[in-house]
Amino acid sequence: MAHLLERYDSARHGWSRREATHLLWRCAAGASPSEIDRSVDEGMTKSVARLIDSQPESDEFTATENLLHRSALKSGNINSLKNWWLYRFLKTANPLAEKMTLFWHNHFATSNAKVRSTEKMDVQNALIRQHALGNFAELFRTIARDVAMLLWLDGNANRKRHPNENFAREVMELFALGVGNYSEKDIKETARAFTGWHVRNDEFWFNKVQHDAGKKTILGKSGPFKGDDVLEIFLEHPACARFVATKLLAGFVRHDPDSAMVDALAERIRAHKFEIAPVVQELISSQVFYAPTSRRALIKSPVELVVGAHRTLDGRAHLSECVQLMSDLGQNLFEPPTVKGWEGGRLWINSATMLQRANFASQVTGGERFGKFGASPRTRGSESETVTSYLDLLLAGSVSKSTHQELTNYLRKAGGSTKEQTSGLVQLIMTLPEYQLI
Amino acid sequence: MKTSRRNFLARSAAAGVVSIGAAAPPFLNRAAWAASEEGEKDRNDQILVLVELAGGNDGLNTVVPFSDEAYLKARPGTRIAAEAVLKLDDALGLHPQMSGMKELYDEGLLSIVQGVGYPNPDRSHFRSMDIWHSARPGDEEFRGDGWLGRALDQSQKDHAGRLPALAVGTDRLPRALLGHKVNVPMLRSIDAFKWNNGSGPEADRKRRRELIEKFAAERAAGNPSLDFLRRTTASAALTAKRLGELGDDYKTTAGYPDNGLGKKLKTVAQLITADLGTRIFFVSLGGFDTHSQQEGAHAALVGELSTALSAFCEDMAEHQLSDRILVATYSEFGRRVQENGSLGTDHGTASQMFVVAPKGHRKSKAGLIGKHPSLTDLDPEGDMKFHTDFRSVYATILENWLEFPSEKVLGGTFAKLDFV
Amino acid sequence: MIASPRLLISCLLTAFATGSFAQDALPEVKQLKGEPLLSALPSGAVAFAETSGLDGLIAALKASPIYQTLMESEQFKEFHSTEEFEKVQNGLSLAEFILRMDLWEAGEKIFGGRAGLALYPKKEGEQPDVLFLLRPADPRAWSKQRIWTDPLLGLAAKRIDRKRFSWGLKAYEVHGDGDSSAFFALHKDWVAFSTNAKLLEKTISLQIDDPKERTRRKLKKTPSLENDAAFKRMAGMVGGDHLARVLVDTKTISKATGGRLGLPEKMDNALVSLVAGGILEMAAQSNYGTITLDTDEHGIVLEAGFDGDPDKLDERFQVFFSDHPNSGPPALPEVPGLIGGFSIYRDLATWYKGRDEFLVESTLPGFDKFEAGVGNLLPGKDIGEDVLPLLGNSVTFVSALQSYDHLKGEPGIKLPGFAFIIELEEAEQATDIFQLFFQTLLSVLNFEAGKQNRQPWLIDVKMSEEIKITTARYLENPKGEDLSIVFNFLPASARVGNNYIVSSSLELCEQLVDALAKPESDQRIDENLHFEVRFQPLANILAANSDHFEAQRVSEGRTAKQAKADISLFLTIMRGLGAFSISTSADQDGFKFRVTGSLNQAK
Repeated sequence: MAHLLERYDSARHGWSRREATHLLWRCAAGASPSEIDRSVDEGMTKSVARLIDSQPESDEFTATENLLHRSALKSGNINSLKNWWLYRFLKTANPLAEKMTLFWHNHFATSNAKVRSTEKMDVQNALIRQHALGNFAELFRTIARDVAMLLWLDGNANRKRHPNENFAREVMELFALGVGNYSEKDIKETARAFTGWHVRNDEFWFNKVQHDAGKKTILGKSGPFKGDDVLEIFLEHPACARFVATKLLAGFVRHDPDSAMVDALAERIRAHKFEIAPVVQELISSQVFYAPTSRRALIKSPVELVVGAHRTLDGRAHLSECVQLMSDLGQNLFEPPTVKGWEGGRLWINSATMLQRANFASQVTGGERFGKFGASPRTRGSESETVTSYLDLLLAGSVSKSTHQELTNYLRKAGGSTKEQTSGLVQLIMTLPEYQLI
Repeated sequence: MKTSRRNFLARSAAAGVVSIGAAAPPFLNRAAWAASEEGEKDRNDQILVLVELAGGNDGLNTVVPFSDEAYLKARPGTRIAAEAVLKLDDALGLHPQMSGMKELYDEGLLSIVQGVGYPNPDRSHFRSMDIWHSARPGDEEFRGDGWLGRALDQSQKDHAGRLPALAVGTDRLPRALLGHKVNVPMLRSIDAFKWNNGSGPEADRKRRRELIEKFAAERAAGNPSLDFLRRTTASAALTAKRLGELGDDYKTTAGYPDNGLGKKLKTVAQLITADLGTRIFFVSLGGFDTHSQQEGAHAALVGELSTALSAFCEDMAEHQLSDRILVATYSEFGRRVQENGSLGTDHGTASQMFVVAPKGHRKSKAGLIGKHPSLTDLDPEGDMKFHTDFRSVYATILENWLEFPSEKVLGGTFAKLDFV
Repeated sequence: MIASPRLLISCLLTAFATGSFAQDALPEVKQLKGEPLLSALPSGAVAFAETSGLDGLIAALKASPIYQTLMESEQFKEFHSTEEFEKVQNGLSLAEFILRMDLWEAGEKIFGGRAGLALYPKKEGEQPDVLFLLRPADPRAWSKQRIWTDPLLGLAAKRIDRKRFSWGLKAYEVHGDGDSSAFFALHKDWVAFSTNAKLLEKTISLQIDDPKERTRRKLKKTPSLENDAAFKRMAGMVGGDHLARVLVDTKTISKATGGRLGLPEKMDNALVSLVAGGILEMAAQSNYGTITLDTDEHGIVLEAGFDGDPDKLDERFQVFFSDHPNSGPPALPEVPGLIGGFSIYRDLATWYKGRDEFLVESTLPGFDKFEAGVGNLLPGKDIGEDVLPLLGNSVTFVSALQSYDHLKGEPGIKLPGFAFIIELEEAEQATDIFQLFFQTLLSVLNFEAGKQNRQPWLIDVKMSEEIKITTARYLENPKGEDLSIVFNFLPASARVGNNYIVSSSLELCEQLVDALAKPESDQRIDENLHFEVRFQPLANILAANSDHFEAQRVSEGRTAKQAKADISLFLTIMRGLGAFSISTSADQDGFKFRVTGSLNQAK
C-alpha cells in the first residue's frame, strides 16, 4: 500500500519535459515554455518546492490584484470578485495555493446565490486561502464559524426547541466524514450540539439561550458537547482523514482512486496531523502521481481549461468573458450549484459543453473575445517540426502518428497569412479530445 | 418521426463518404456506433416538455367557475365575466385570452387536472417552488436533487456525454433537473450550438472542421477518458451539424407569437426535430405574482401561454411528432379565493395543471380531471383545499409516459391519473 | 446608393488630383466663388447639401488641445505599433504622394471652397441620381498636379465626348458594376461628378455664363435649383452663410416613398412616442426639411427643422405641443454641481390616456404590467383615474453632484443625486397622493433593507424657509468607507407652489427648493424639450469612481498601468469639453431642433 506514495525516483525513471509538464499542469493548470524549461533544469525536488513554498508576488500583480479586489468590494458586485479571482489564477506566482483555494472552496461549497453578499464571500475566500496549504483541522474549525457558511446552511434556524439538521447533515456528509459513516441519530445529536451557532450583526455569535446544553451521543462518544467539541470528534474519526484523502487523490491523481490509495494517503494525513502542505508535497512527488495510469487521467475543469490556455499561450485575458465562459461550462466561481460543490470529472462534459470548449479554442486563436494571445508563429523548419513544437507546447507531445501526420498535412495545405496558418493549427490542437485531459 | 433515423443514417453516411473519402472505414464505424445508441433510445422516444408558470398563477381566473356564487362574491373587481369565458361545460370556462388552448381542449388533446397541491402548503415562492422541483414536501431544505434529475440518475448508468434533458431560455438550471450523475445544460438559443470555425480562409476552416470530426471518430484503446471525450466530441459535432442544417431549413407554418414563451417553445421545437436524443425540455414563463391590478397583467400572461402553446402543438403536428410529445404546465401555488384591496390576489394553494397529450395514449377521455375545489369549504387560512397530490401527476408522467419507475424517484407510490 | 462606393472614392480622389489642363484658349467660366451653389446645380433635386469654408474648422480641429492630447497620448503610441495603423498609414502616405501635399493642407484647400451634393429622383424604386460639384477656394494651388494624375486617369477612366469638350474641360466615364457608370468633368476652376450623364451636361451648362459660349459648345440653357420654389424657399429660410447646410424636399420624397416619409402612424416604442411623437408627426407631414451647421465663439451649433404648423396637425397630437409663447417647460434650475438634465413640456395625462392612438397594440400590455407594478406603491388607487389628472404639463429632471452628510463615510460607488420636478394641476390633492407614494415606497424599501441587514429609514420632516420637506433619516448613520451603493440615496420630496420635487438626495432637494423659491423660476423657456449635459461636473463624478473604470479596463485585458492611463486620458478629454445641449421647439413656422456643443472655456 504505502509504496504507492513512495517517492518517485526521478533519477532512475526520468525527469523530462513530460514529467515537468505533468507536474505543472496538475498544480498550476498550465505553464509557459520557459516555466517548463526551468522545471526540467531544476529537477523534481526543486520544482515541487517552488510550488509548495510561498513565492513573492511581482509588484504588477499586487497592484492589479488590489485594484480589482478593491473595486469588487466597493461595488459589492460578485462578478467583479470573480474577475479578481480569475486574475489571481492567471498571474499569481503561487498557483498551487490558488488551486488549493479553489479545491477547498469546492469542498466547503458555499454559494453567493443564497448568501448574497460579496463581502462575506470574500471573507470566506480569504479564510480559505489563508489555510489552503495550511492545516485542514484549523480550516475546518474556522470555516464552521464563518458567517457566509452559517448563512448558507441556515445556522440561525438551528434552535434549542427546533433543531435544524441542515448544518449538521452537511458538515458530516460533505465536509468531514462522507456518506455512510454516521447514522441519522448522529445527525440529530450533532444538530443539537450546534444549536446556538448563530450570526448576529454580521458576526458569529454563540446564542447561549438557544443552545441545547444536554448530553449528546455522537459516533459512540457521549457528553454535553458544544459545536467545537463535535468538530474535534469528527477530526479524530478515521473516516475524516480518508474523506480528505479521497478528495485530494481525485483532485491530483485520478478521478476514482481505489481504496488502497485512499488508505495510504489517509495514513500520511494523520501522520502529518492534517498539515496539507507536506501531504501534497509527498503526493506530487510520489510514484502514483507519475504512474502511467495517472497521466492524462483527469478531465480539465473549466477553470483549468481557461487558465491553462492563458498560461500556456502567454495570453492577456478578458476577465469577464472568461468568467462567463467558465460559468457556461458549469463552473461559476462563488456560486457552486449546491453544497456538494462541483462533481467534476466526466460531468463537465456533454455535447453542449464540448461544443463550447471547441468554440473557446476557435475564439482564442481566431479572435479576441477572450483576450489577446501570444502564440507567435513558430515556424522553425518544416511543417512537421512546427506541428511537433506546438504539440509539445499544448499537449506535452503525445498524439498518435496518424494524428501528427494529419496535422502536418493540414499545415502544408493551409492558406492565408502565417499568423492565420498557425492559428488554425493551434485551434485544431486545442480541439483535439486529448487537449481536454490534464 | 420514424423516417428520421433512416434519414440520419443516410445523410451521415453520404456526408461521410464525401468528406472523408478514402478514410471511410473509421467514419462508418462511427455511424454504426451512433446508430446503436439511437437504437437504444428508439424504444423510449417519448418527450416531456415542462412549462413552469413562475410566481403563482391565479388558477381561479384561468379555469373559471363563472357561475359559482362564491366566486362572484369573492371576486367583485377581478372576476372574469360569464359572457366572456370560453365555456368548457356549464360550470367552468377558460379565460377569454386562451382561445388556442380551448381549441386543443375541443380537439381532445388538452386535459386539465384540477385541485392539485400538497399537504401543509407553503406559501413562500422559494419553498413552494423547491417542493415542486424536489417532489419532497416533507424536506425542510432543498437537498440537491430534483425529481427529473433523480429519474435520469435512475434511468441510465452513465449519462456523461449525452443530452437527456435541456433547459431552454432559463438563467439558472431549474432545480427539478439537478441530479447526481447527470449534468443538464442550459441553452439560451440554438446559436449556442453553432460551431465556430475560427478565422482564416474558408477552405481551411472547412478542412479543420472535417479533421476534428475525423479525429473524434477514432477509438482510443486503453484510455477510457480519452474514448469518452472523443465520443462526446463526435456527438457534439453531429449535434451542431444537425442543428445547423435545421436552423436554416427550419420551416413551420405554425404562427408562433412574438413573445418570450413563443420564442422558447419554437427553440424547443427545433431541438426536438433535430432528434438529439433529448427527452426532457424545460421552459419557464414568469410574472404570475399578480398582487395588484391583476386584470391586464394576468390576461397578457395566460394569453402568452395559450398562443405559444397552441403554436407549438401545431408545429409538432406539422412535423408529425405529436405522438411523441407531452406538455405539462405547473405553478408553485394558486392564489387566494378572495381578492385583495388592490384588485389583485395573494398567494394561495391548490390550482390546476394543464397537460397536452396525444390521443393515442389516452386511457379514458381527455378533459377535466378531478373536480374543481370547493370555494366554500376552505382550509383554515381561507384557501382552496387540494385533492390531488402533485406527485400523482408526476408519477403518471414518469411511468405512463417516460417509462421510468417512479417509486424511488418520488419516495413512495402515488395513485396515477388518467390523462395519459 | 452609388453602384460602387469604392468607384466613387477612386474617382473623386483622381478628380481632386487634377488641376488645370494645359490647354490654351480657356473660355471664361462663370465666376461662382462666393455665390451659393444653388444656381450652379440643375433643378429637380429632392435633396441638396453644401459646405463652405470648412477650412477654418479643420484648422481649429488640428490646433485644438484635444487633438494634441490625443496625438501625444500613450494610447496613440500603442496604436502606432499595431497592424491596422500600418495599413491606414500606408494608404494615407500614398494619398499624400499623389496629392503632393500634406493631407491637412489638402483638406483645407479643398474644403475651403464650396462643395455641393444633390440627389435627383429616378423612377420609382430606383436609387436616386447623385450630382456633386466642387469649387475649391484656390484652384491654382492644385493645377500643378495634372502631370501626375493624367496618366492615372487614362487608366481608370474613358475619355468621352472629346470633340465637344475640348476647351479646357475634360469629361470622363467610368464603368462600375454591371451597367452602371459614373461621369465626371474636370475644369481648372471646378470638378463635377454624377451618376447620370444628362445631369452632368446640365451642370456643365450652368457653369457657363455667356449664352454665346453655351451655344458654341452645343449646351442648352437649363434652369437651376434656384428656380425651384421649394429650394428657393428653404434657402431663404436658412440663409446662405453656413459652414454646411442641407435642404430636403420632404414633400416630394414623401410622395415617392408612399407618403409620410416612411414614418409609421403608430409607434412601437412608448418612450420614443412620448418624447418625439409630435415631432415625427410634423416631419411626416412636412414639405421641407433643413439642417445647418455653424460655429460660434463657444463651439458648434447644429440646427435642423421642418416646416409646418402644430396647430394644423390632427387634434390628438396637440398633446405634444405647448401654446406659445411663454408656456414651455421651465429652465433647468441652476443648482451647484449641476451635471445636466432635461425639461419637457408634455400633457402627460392626456397622452397616457390616449396612448392607444399613438402606439401599436403590442406595446399596450406593457402598460398593464407597469400599472400593476406602480399600483403596489399606491394601494387602492388607479393610475389613470387618480394620479394622472393631478399632473400638469411639464416635467423636469436634474442630476447634480452630492456630498454625503447623511453618512459617516462614503459609498463605494458614488452616484450623483437625481430629482424630478413635476408640475401639478391640482396641488393640494396631489400632495396627499405623493405623500402616500413616498410612505409606501419607504416601507417597501425598509423591508428590503431588513432582509439585507441594512439600516432602515424613519420618516422625517425638515423645513427650508417655509417649505416642508418630507424626507427620511437612518436609525443610525451608516459607517464605513465603502458602503453599499444604495447609500447614495436618501429620498426627499417637497412641494413648492405648483411644483412637486421628488429627489434621491436631501441636499439636492433643499437646493431645488431654494432655486424654485426664486421668482425667476417661473420663467418658461420657449422650447418644447431641453436637454443639457455639462462635462466638468460629469468628469468629476466619473473621476470619483475612477478605480471602478480602471478595474473594468483591467478585466478587459489591460495592465493596471495601462488602465490608469486609459481612464486618465478619457477624463482629460472630457475635461476639455464644455457642455452639450439639445433643444426643440415648434411654432407656426415649423419645428426646430438645435444641438450645441462647446469646449471648456475655463483656463
